[in-house]
Amino acid sequence: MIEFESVTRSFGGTRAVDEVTLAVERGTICALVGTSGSGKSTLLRLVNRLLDPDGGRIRLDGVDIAGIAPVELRRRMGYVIQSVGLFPHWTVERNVATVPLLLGWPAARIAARVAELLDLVGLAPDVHARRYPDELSGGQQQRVGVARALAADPELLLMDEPFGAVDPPTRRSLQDSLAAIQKRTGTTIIIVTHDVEEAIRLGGTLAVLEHGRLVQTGTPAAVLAHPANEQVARFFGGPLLGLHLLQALNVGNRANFTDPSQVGGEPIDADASLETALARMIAEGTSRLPVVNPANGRRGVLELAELVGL
Amino acid sequence: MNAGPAADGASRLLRRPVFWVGAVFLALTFGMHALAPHLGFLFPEGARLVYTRASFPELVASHALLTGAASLVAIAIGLSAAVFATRPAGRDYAATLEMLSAVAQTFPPVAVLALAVPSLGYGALPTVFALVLYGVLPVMGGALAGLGSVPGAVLDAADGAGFTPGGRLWRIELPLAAPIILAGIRTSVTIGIGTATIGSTVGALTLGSPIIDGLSGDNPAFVLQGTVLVALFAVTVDLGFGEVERALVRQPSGASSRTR
Repeated sequence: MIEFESVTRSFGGTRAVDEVTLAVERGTICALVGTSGSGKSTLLRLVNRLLDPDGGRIRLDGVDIAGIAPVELRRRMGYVIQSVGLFPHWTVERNVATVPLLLGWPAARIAARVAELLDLVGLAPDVHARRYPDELSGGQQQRVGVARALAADPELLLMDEPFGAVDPPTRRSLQDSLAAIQKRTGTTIIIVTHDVEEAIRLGGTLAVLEHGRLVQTGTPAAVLAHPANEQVARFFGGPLLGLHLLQALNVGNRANFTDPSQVGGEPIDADASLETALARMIAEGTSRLPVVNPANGRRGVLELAELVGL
Repeated sequence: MNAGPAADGASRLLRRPVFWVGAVFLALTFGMHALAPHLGFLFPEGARLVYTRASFPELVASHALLTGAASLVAIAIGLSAAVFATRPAGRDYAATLEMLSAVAQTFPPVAVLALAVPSLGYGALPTVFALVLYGVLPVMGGALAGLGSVPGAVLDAADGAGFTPGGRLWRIELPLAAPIILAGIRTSVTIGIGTATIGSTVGALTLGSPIIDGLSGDNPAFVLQGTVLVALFAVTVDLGFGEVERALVRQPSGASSRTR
């Protein structure tokens, strides 16, 4: 668990991060969101001591990180940045092995770990391991970046707009991969993004920053349903905020599993987003969809009136 | 093609210009003494055709030693200065260092020699001093440019991964900057080989000795012998650096890329 306690960091006269107090639970994904210049990247860089705070404290599992040597601290955390920053003179294999090599793992353990990680991020080790970064597509490079960050089983993964530089379909697939990986490994993730959909798709918790201040925290559904102020509402889409709320809620939240009446057609998963359900209703010209809960096989119905009801 | 790797490498070497230029340079160094008497038709009647104050291999060895020593010192100074100026502690000095070495470059080498002689005496020492002064700028310029060319994202990623400052320099920055650093060293050494000739005006033994003697004694044969050898020397070394640069740049690897 990582705790920020009245953390402040200034550049020149401006407070980039202003008295932020926030706790990120172990095993969750926290999305730091806000407009450019809101201080979200600065806040992230305070966690692995690429910057040090002017005031306040950051604790990792109860230990003040100011007392941990930066190099040691960083080797315990994964770090992924938008421009990836793969080492161009090293193969994919060697890039992924960066932190294990720094930690002095034996070669056999490193080789096994690299193959495992390339598999995990969806790259075939026998095809990609010996390639150089400039021989990969942007999406593949970012997958390698994620693999490199996860190499030494970090307690915490820090991501600074990791998928900002890739095209939207690739971004979606990277987000899906990341969500699946997080589910498998249980790694705590703090991700900085200004992409509302990304924050909603990935963030178990949103932390909304504005001019360095933390203005709201909560689940995506809670933040979207009750934005703390005008700016937060505008950030999450202004007049289109309702559509983003549909991304934040699941079919299961709104479906009726007690209604015995059955509806024909291909059932939709209860953990699909309401946005997907609405898209299907529009495409099929219907106001009712059959629903199935993949976890327990229960069937139900989703009505358009329920979907839009708050 | 069943040639072994050694034969393969040898045949590749035979196709490189550095091999041929180098071969001509060595042949003339050791053969000039025998060749010179036959070149009388090129020069005015009665000119002495063979430089005898020192043998050509001796001149080349002394020239190489002076330039090599000066280059090593210049590389050490230039590289250290550039590394210092790109560290957090030294960043403020970067502009000053660049200005200092630019000023050093505007000083004519002869003036440096003239100023150095009273304190360092005649001979090799003032020559090496002038060569070092001249050699530092291209090395430092190349190293500053090379280290500056490493993308910020790569440095950020290296810091974030937990490299120590020294580890980052050694394993990330210097390898990535190497081609540009080497280009600076190449310029520095090549210029140094040419500039070393004027060391003979203050008594250093170099390939400039026959040139200076020839100029003052009105003997074009000596001038030509010294000039041809020093030019071939510089071109050979320059081409040699070109080969090292080629080896440093990763060839397009395709599927069967080599590991480094």
